Amino acid sequence: MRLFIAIWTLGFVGLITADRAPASDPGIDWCRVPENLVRADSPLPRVAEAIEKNQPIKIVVLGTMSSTGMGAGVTAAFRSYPERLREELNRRYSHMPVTLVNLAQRGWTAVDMAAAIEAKVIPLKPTVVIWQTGSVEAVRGLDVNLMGEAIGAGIVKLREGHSDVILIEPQYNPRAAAMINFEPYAEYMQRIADSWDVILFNRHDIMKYWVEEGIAKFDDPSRALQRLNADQVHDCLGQLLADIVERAARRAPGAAGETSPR
Amino acid sequence: MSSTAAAGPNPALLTTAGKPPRDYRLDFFRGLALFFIFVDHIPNNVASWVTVRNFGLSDATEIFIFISGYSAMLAYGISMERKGFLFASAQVLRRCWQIYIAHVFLVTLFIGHVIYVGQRYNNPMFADEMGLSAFVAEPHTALMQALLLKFKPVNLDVLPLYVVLLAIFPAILWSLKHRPVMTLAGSAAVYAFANYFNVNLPGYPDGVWFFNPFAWQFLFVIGAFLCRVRDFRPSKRLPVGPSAAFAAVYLLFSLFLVASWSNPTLAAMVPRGLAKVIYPIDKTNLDLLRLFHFLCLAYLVVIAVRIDAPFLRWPVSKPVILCGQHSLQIFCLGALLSFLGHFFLTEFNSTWIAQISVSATGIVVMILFAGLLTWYRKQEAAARTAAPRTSST
Repeated sequence: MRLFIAIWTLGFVGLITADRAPASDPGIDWCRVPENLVRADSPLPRVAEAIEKNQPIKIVVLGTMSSTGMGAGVTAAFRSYPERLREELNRRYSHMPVTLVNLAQRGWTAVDMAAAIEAKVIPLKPTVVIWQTGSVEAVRGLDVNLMGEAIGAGIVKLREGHSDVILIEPQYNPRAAAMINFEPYAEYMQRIADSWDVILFNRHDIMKYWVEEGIAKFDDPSRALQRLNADQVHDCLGQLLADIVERAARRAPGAAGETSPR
Repeated sequence: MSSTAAAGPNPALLTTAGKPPRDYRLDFFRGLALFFIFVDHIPNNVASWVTVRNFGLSDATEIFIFISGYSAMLAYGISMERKGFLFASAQVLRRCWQIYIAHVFLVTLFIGHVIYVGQRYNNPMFADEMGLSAFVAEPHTALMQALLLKFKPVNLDVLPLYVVLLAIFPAILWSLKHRPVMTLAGSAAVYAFANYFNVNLPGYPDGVWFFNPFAWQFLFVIGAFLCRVRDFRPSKRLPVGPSAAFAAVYLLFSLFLVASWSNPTLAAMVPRGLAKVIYPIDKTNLDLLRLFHFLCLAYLVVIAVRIDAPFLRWPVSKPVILCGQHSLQIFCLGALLSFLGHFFLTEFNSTWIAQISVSATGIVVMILFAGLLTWYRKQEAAARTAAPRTSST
């Protein structure tokens, strides 16, 4: 019994003192994540159409603090993921302009955003709407069902307004995960995305992967380092989103209808 | 380890004259559910891959609430027959008060933790997430809301549900005794009403209860009802062959659905039309598909595992049964341990070896504590029976 306890204690001391994940090598591709985290299961018919006909692409962002420019904790607004996505698409489709309107606001819930679609989003005639939500709901413990209904209604409105939609999950941070239960909200969003045939960008799982691999760190005490880390994360998020857009657009070449390739 | 070895299914402890033998299946499966809940409540824990939630639509919460309903009826039903309704109600409310105190203790700990994290790891990248610190920035409000059971931090939602269920249990007890079928029907009506109109209790800072008591009471009452009518052998009333086959098919279907959530190839096989009808499968209001999954699972377990199943007497089952016998204390301990476990994982080491070690350690601590409780209860009982003798001599 005593031996057992001794071994157990030693084991834990070992776990505490064991080396943390090794520092990331500058030579590797920081953004890389497993394939299943960047799936493009649903088509983006409007984007595909725009690419085919060389029409401009207009991105409108709905979201919370983490989707705003400076509010997202980056060193400059142009380093936030919506801006990085725009730049990346501009680079890949250099023959047509890609523009961005960022409507993200601190504290916005899915219900707030769905209510704003009619008046604020539709008149902009976006090609694709990046809709990040679920964060405020999880923090405030709001009803997941209300969130789901709002997202569903919003998707319908956006489709009627001839826009594609990409949903984005809440962020991941191990310390926040100890206090807030994001999983049910993220999971619910996945179910909604499945049933509406909409792409869900798995930001939560992607960030979790980076943390677990030691690629991203969120607990540096220095504010400057925090912002540099945020730049890195947002840069990768923007690139991965661009990958998804490109793949989804290729998936349904010119197919503007609602038919799913499944 | 002598304390754990002494307890468990020991025939000498079991029966006083005329009383049916204790149903160790209840203790065993409840103990298992407690382990699962503990493991599931540590976020990002590889050990949680073995728990029921990854194999079907319902999870350990359903097992826990159902068995709690069943055994509440068992214990307090007997108490009501022997000592009357008033005494049984007093016993229920005493238990209710104990859980309430345990909940307040855990919430206090949690508030301290949130304040610590908010001050130590203030990163502007997580302005949304750190919104929670703002809510507990006024601890007096947060504490007050916790006392009102409105402020229920992450993973501390089951205890408030349990408090509410026990608070209304005297009424259920009385009603089940006199009108069992009517009680079940009434409970089903409340469940349907809550689901249809989305009626729930308010939460703090806003929102609603994660486990809607108006919905979850149904499962608790189903458990209590099945205990009340256990002499009629409800599970034997269904034609075993077709029912079991149907339940098995439904369980397989659920397994497929759950597997499709983490496997894109399988996900592509779920027809859109079906997805639209069944999703989202909601936990807050205890979606009918979840409830049905649990009932199918319970049915298959009841016909497969008889009351005298040999594995219940195996030495490995003993610790599980012990934990199931002290379910409330072990549940509260599990909540505390999952909190500490996650703290360890985020602050020190989060490798999968650490995740498994933390899970295993937590379970060992739960078992040791259950053993201690059994030992204490036995000593107490011995002292009580010894006391009159010493006074008379």
